[in-house]
Order: sequence, then structure tokens, then C-alpha cells
Amino acid sequence: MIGLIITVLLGCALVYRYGGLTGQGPRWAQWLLVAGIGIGIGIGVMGSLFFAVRTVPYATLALAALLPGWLAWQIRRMPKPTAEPGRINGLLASGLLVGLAIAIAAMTHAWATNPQGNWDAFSIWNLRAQFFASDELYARAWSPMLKFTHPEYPMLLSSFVAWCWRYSGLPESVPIATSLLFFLGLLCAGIGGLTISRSPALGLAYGLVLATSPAFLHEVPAQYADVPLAYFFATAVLMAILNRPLLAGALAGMASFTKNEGAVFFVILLIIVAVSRRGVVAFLAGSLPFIAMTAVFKFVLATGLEGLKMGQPNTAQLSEIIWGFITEFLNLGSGFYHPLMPVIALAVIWGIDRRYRPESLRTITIAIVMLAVYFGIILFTANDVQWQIGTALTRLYAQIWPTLLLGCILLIKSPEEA
Amino acid sequence: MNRLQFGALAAVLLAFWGALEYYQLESVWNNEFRDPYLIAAQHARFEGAKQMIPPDAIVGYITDLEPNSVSWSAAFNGAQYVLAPRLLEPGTTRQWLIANFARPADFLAFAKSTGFHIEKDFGNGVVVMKK
Repeated sequence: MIGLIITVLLGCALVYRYGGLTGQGPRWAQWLLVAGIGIGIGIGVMGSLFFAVRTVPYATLALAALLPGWLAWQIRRMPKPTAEPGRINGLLASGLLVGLAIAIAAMTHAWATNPQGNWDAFSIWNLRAQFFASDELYARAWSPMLKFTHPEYPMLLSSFVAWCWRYSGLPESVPIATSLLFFLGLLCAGIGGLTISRSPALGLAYGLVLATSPAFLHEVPAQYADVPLAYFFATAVLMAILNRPLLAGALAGMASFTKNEGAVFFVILLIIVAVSRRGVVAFLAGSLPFIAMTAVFKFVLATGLEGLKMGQPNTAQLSEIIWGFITEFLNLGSGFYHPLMPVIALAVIWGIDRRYRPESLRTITIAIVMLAVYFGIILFTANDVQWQIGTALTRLYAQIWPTLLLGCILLIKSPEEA
Repeated sequence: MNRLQFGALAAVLLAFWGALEYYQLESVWNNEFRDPYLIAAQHARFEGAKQMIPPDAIVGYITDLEPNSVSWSAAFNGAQYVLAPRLLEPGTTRQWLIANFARPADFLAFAKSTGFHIEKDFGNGVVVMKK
């Protein structure tokens, strides 16, 4: 677990010193935002660094050793950030804490009964982490012999878990904690970011809805790459909204090194950043190390491995696919509950703020375009359509749900302004 | 009660419903699917084989489970997970061979007919053979 602690501290220190996320909004929101983004940046940087060390021996080892000392020195020299007063809505904050406590309690049940995670955890993500953690045999993580393990999938998550395992044996607690950290990081970043960009009530409302979204929460103990991907999607968009293109680029680049869908997301966000002319150069600069690593992995190390199996369009099953998308959207909830319900209630009671419509629409558009791409992939898949819908669609919705929720909450009128 | 508080109360009550639904979902799911692919048991089943086979080996793999079935995939992935970094390859072309059987079988006859000898029968359907 020492790897996880170092990662979180390093990521938070890096974001605190260089992220430019302090000095605006209430102090508690600044801390939440720094912690939330720091978790993902820490995991992304350490996962990528370990990958680079393994594949390019010693090139980045010195950097990893020098970074903590350099950061501590830089933070000491940094002026103390200013903060604005910001009242916390007690009811929303209490509701959020109770909701989160219930969610964590439910997850402990899953961790106890299935500590190895679900199918893809032990047959793909954690298996590849085991290979990557081994001394001389790390390249087996993308061996073409792993026919049932998707050796062509990007390596960020497996590499990070492997880094932690390298120094602590192979405890099941590492992938469990990694998944949980991504969820908590997303929660902190969403609450902090929306509080700073809009208002404390909207920030807390985002956290409240996310911490009680059944289908999304169900993916946290699964130990797949979908929650990390959801984290990178939503936080990259959030950083673009907060006009932090360098961080937005870094997070979008990390998404591309996490799972194939991340590359699609990177292109979509790049187009939106370029069209809105909000720091496209900084965005590209932030993403460069991670995009380069993805390219090296895809085109040099794992080249020639079979990826998506595409064929003729499954037009005969078009209605089945459409129905699948509708059903799985409804399945974001559980029982008669759907996580859009509290959002609709807030929109009705607090109202809509038309000033934020362009920002909200941009965010929702990203989620919808991602869904359209998933639709296209299922339409053209050479696999069994029913199987693809049954095994993948819930997770694809989980990937975009935090971004979609961000777009919806952005549209709501801040009650503090009323 | 002002608009802020009223909205917050509505959202909290609805979210509380969501939290309870999630708790219920996770409880039911984990009671129904309690380590459904028996991954925890594989650590104990393959521990001896893991000690015997060198980590860099590519190991042949045979089983009596029906090919292309969920149980075949689960057994293979489970064995691969606990035996990594050794690589498993279905078939008998490698120097090392691991048998992962669900039912009793005549491993000695199999070994003789395929040019292998049994290194050790670990019980529970796990046998390590070598050419």
C-alpha cells in the first residue's frame, strides 16, 4: 500500500504546486479539487513512469527519485493561496456524507465476497499487472499468446497496479484501493470544481448524485478500467471548463493510455478545445507524454495484435441495439430509482441558468458523441450483438455518466444567486 | 423553508433512495455471485504447480471441460491468473504441461500416450507433466 500513499501525495503535491487550481473559491473546495485531480494525476504519472522505466530502462528512474524532493522545495517557496468565503449547505453536505457512507458499506460487501473483482479484473487488468510486475517477463503483458486477455489494451491501469505490487507482493487490496481512489478522486474533483466554477450548492449536488448512482457505483468494486476512464473523462472536461488546458490535456492523454475508448475521447475533446480556442497548444503539450506512450505501445510494442473485430453492419439487429441503449440508460438506476431524478428535481426547484447553456451543451455533446461511437462499434461488431450489449453497454454508460451528470448540473441555476 | 433548502431536501431524499437501492443491488448481486469462478480456490489448487514450474516457462494446458464454454474460459483464466508470469497455452506442444481437470481421469495413460511423464499429481484435478 506504500505505493498508493506515495502516489496520492506526489499527485496532490504536483497539482498543488503546478496545477494553478488554488486561489479561487472557498478553501475547502480548493483542497477537494487539488486532492481529486491529484489522485488521478498521481496514478497517471506513476503508472506511465513505471511503464517507461520498464520499457526504456533507467531513462526515468532518476526523475522518479528526484521529483518528491523537488516538489517539497517548490511548495515551500510558493506564496500561500488566497481563498474566498464559501458557506457549505449543511443539508446537502450531510446527505452526501450519508450517501457516501452507504455506498462504501455496500462496496465492502463486494470486496469481502469478490476480492478478485469481476471477470475482466482477473482475466485482463490484474493479470496483465501480474505479468508487468515480474522481473524479466514484463513484456508478457502484451504477449500475442494472451488470446483471452486483450493484450492490445493500453497499459496505464495495469502498469500502476504492477508498480504497487512490485514493492508489496500481490495483495488484492491494491486494485481494490486503486478503483476506490478513482471514485473518491472523481467525487472530490467534481465537488471542488463545480463549487469554484459555479457554487457550493451545485458542487455538493454533483457529489450527492454521483455518490448514490447505483450502476456507476456497482462498477467501482469490479476493478475494471471503466471507473478510471470515467474519472479521466469527467476531470478532463472539468479542467477545460475551469480553463486549465494543460491539465485537461494531461488527463485526456491519460484516458487514451487507459483504454481504447480514451483515444476517441481525446480526439473529441481536442476538437472542442480547438473550436472554442481555449489553449489548444497547452492542451496538446499536457497530453503529449501520454499520447506518445499510447502510440509507442500501440504501434511498436503491441503492434499487429488483433483489436476490435469489425464486420458488416448488423442492420438486422438495429432495433435490438437501439432498445439495448434505451434499456441500459434506464439501468443506470436500480429498482424504480434513476440518478437523473434528483437532477430533474433540482432543475425544477432551483431553475435553469441559460448563461451556462453553451458550456452544458458542450459537455453533454461529448458524452453523446462517445455514446454514438459506442453505437457504431456495436452496429459493426463481428461479435454476437446480444453478447456485446449484455457485457459492455452498462460499463460504457458508467464511463460517460459522470461527464453527462456534469453537463446536467452545469445547466441548473445556482440557488445562492437567487 | 427557502428555495435552496427545499431543493436540497428533495435532492437528498431522492439520493437517499438511490443509496439504498445501490446497497440492495450490491447485497443481492454479491450473495448470488460469491466468487462465481472460484478464483480464490485456484490459489490453493495451483500453489504446488507454481512452486514446481519455472516462472519463465510457457506451459501447455489440457482440461476435460467443454471447449468454448464459460466454464472452460473461467478455468483457463483462473489458472492463468494464479500461475502468472508463466504463460499457458492450450495444447500439448510445450515441454511443461498442466492438467486442470474437473473429474477424475487416467493421467498416467494420457502421459504415456503423449510422451510426457507425470512430475506430480497435486490432487483436485491438478497434475504437472513434463516431456
